[in-house]
Amino acid sequence: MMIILKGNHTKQSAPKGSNPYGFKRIFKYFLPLFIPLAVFEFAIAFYIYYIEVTRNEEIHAAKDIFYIQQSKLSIKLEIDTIISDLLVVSQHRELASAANKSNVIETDGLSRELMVFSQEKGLYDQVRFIDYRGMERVRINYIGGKSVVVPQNELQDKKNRYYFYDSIRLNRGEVFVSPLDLNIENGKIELPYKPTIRFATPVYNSYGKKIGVVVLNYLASRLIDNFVRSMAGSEGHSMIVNADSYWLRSNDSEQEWGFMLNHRRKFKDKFPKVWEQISGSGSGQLYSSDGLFTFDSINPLEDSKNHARRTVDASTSDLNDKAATGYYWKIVAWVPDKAVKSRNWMAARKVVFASALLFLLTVLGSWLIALAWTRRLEVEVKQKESEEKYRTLFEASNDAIMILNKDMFIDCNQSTLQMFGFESRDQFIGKHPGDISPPRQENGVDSSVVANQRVMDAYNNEKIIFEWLHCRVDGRIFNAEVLLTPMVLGGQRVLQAIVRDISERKRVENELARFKSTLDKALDCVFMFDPETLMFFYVNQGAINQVGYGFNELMQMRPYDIKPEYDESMFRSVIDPLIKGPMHAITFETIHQHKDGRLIPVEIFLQYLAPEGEIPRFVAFARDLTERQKINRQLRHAQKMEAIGQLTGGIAHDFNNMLTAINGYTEMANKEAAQYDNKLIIRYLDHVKKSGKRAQDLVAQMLAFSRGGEIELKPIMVVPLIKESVERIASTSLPNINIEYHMDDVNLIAMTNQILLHQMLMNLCVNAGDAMDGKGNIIIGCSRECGVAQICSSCQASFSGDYIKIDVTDTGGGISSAQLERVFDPFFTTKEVGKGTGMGLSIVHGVMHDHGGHILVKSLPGKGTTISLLFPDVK
Amino acid sequence: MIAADKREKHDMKKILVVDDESSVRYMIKEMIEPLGFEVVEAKNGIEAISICNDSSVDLIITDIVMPDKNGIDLIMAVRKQYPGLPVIAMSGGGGIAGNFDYLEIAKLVGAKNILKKPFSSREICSLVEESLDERSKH
Repeated sequence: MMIILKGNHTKQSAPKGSNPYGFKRIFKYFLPLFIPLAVFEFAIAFYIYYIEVTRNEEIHAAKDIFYIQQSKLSIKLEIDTIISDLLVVSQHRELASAANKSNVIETDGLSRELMVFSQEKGLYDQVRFIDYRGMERVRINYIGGKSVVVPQNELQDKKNRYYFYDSIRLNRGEVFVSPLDLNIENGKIELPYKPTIRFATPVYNSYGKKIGVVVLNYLASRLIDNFVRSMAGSEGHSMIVNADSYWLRSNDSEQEWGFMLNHRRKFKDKFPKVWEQISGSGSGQLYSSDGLFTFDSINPLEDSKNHARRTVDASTSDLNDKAATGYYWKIVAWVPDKAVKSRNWMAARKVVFASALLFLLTVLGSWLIALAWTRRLEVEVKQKESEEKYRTLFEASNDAIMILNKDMFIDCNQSTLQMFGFESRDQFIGKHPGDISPPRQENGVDSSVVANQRVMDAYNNEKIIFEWLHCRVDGRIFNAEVLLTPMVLGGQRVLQAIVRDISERKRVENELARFKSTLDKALDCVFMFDPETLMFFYVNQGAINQVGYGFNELMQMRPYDIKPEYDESMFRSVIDPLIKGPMHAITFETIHQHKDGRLIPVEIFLQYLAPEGEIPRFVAFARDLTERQKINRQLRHAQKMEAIGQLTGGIAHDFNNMLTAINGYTEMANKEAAQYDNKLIIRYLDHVKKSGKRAQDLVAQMLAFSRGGEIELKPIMVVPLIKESVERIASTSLPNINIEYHMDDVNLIAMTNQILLHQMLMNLCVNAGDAMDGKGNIIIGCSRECGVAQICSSCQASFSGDYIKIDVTDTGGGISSAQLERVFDPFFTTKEVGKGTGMGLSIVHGVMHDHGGHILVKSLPGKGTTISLLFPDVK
Repeated sequence: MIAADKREKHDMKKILVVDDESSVRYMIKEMIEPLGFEVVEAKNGIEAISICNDSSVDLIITDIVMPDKNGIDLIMAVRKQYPGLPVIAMSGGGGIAGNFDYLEIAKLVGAKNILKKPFSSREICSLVEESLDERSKH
């Protein structure tokens, strides 16, 4: 599969303002999302509100209907119970038997029975038996929870009361039910109000003759209480209204009993339209501006199942025109409009609260989604920009960039084609790394094998970088640096290969390496340092070796850190003129201090380089002068010796000429004196002759020194010779000097010349004696020294080996270090004019070196001096 | 008597002494004349050649280092003009180029014998006789 990196996308400007995404940009996504959601939410909320209100109303209406029906049932059951009690009492055997024999009724037994009944039931205010004449014959009052038989003398005539009149006319089994009103006692409404219903039915004896009526004064407060209890679950006002629209029961007690009390308040006066509907139908529910009304009708007579006939007494003024079917009560549950609205408002509040919460969530959610969209868009835009940039970079890169899938190229940039000489991308795609490499790498490995290994390594690692030989289409091979980076493109794991042609870099590196190697191998030390900070930034291996510091240590140092003669200001005073010009280079001698403290004399060639376009720097070539100074010293010494030799030779020649005359004429004079036998003159001339001979010997040595190499050397046992010479010297030249010998081995043999050895000892002993002003000790030593390794005090050359050493030690004032350097120079003397020639030690120097030997001088000022002659051991 | 014998033996053989030092010339003259030689003197090579040209000389004793034609040049000239004439070269030492002694050089260019200064009368006398004897053998 080919993966192509896409580009050419429209560039989008970055969001402005502090908000990285921009409120306007977010609003652009927020509003289209939020507004439909908000409208939808409002619709839903309204619908929920509507459903809630409707449901509430239905529930409350149903509840009211349920409570109304429940209360209606309880009332009917109560009435049925009373009628049942009434009929049971009317058919009591005592009554029947009491009336059987005669019209005289025995009341004692009846009173007891009815009292028991009254007590048992506890429902009835009065239980009475009224005979057909209207006289109360038995009356049981229920007072304070206890039934009491009313004495005979307190019984009243009730023939004019409506309940007697209406009930005595009834047939067997028919029941009179009075309206529900307040009990009147002795012509006044009994207080507290005692709602009462009177139930009556006729009583027949066993002969079928009507003998009176039984009347039960039912305490209707129980019925009303039952009604109120039944309606307790209703939220509305519960009412009982009679057929004349008077309240028999109301939440407002002021409204009750309008037909007995003077206020005459009626339901229909308060709710005229409602009453119209209520009075016109048996049951139902209606809404009006006053609220919700739920109602039902109770007809105490019609609803009774136990009796075939019913009637009501119409004797009272209010009920005169009422038929039996017109006797009804309306039980009403009224929920005022305020309460309905309040209930709806409660529902609305819930919905509004929920809606507000939902609204906030919608706002928040919409905002977050809009923000997310905006971000996603920004990311997409950035991704597109990034892709575009990547593509631009990909194409614009000077490096060849290729994409490898497994080991096959699937994409490349323009530079790849140019670098490898391909004409088109298609020509390149599908190639393998081995195809663009020579068969073998520099180290001889197979390119394809190693290339595959590298590709595998790159897949298994983060990234790898290595150098590689690549091959162009035209066969030209070039050095490259390859960076392989694993990545995922289009869901595939691929490798990005960046190939950089480093031919030029390699060339420069090789040149630099050669340059560095050359510099490092150079004997001179090369230091480069920055003109401002003075810090070294390059030193060659020679410099590192010379000063003993490591490369990294030197990179933290400045030139004056290794030049004890300079501090920073002094050093800047040297380099500042070079920076200003016109002279940019200087040569000077100074001292470098090695890390171990050793001082090294150096010659510095210091140059300021500031080529155009390059960083200015100083380069210093430091040459170790130690060896050169030593060679120079030796050369100077040799030159001096040579010059002195020539001079000495010339002098000796002239001396010999003079001695020729002196000796010759002395000889002739001596002969003449002998002829005249002048012994005194002969003796004088002998002294002249001896001195002439000594002068001749000296000049011979001077000539030997000047010519060198002509002395005949032979192995000589030196110890006896030394003793003989020194004693001869002491006797003639050192009369007040004590001589000590330290010569244990008398068999030491050295290649030397008797005369020369005598001459050297003479010179050394005379010098020693002079150093002590003619008084003191001279110690003569002779020994074999093995494994000597020293530097010659006269020729400055180092030497080593086994030597026969002759020491001449004095206890004089010693030689100063300044004098030590010059003691071997010819004609150098510290003696008074005329007392020393200055040739002594220089002849010793020449003679010893003609022997292949060397000289060592040890001197301590104030303590004395030892001069040692070292002859090569010839054993 | 011995001196008279020698005088007869070397009767009137002419020896040319060449030295820039007159005292040396005179001393040599004093030393060898008693042996019966005629001693003539020259102070340099030029004078010496001139004498040789003017008269017959049997032996030349010459110094090396002299102004106006030195001993080496003289020996070379004598070897050329008077091949059988023996020359004794004498010098107080020294040499040229450090390594070559004047006397060695003189021997190389044809000096019969060499004589190191200073010398005794015996040394020079015996050498003169030796040189003349060898010449007479030839």
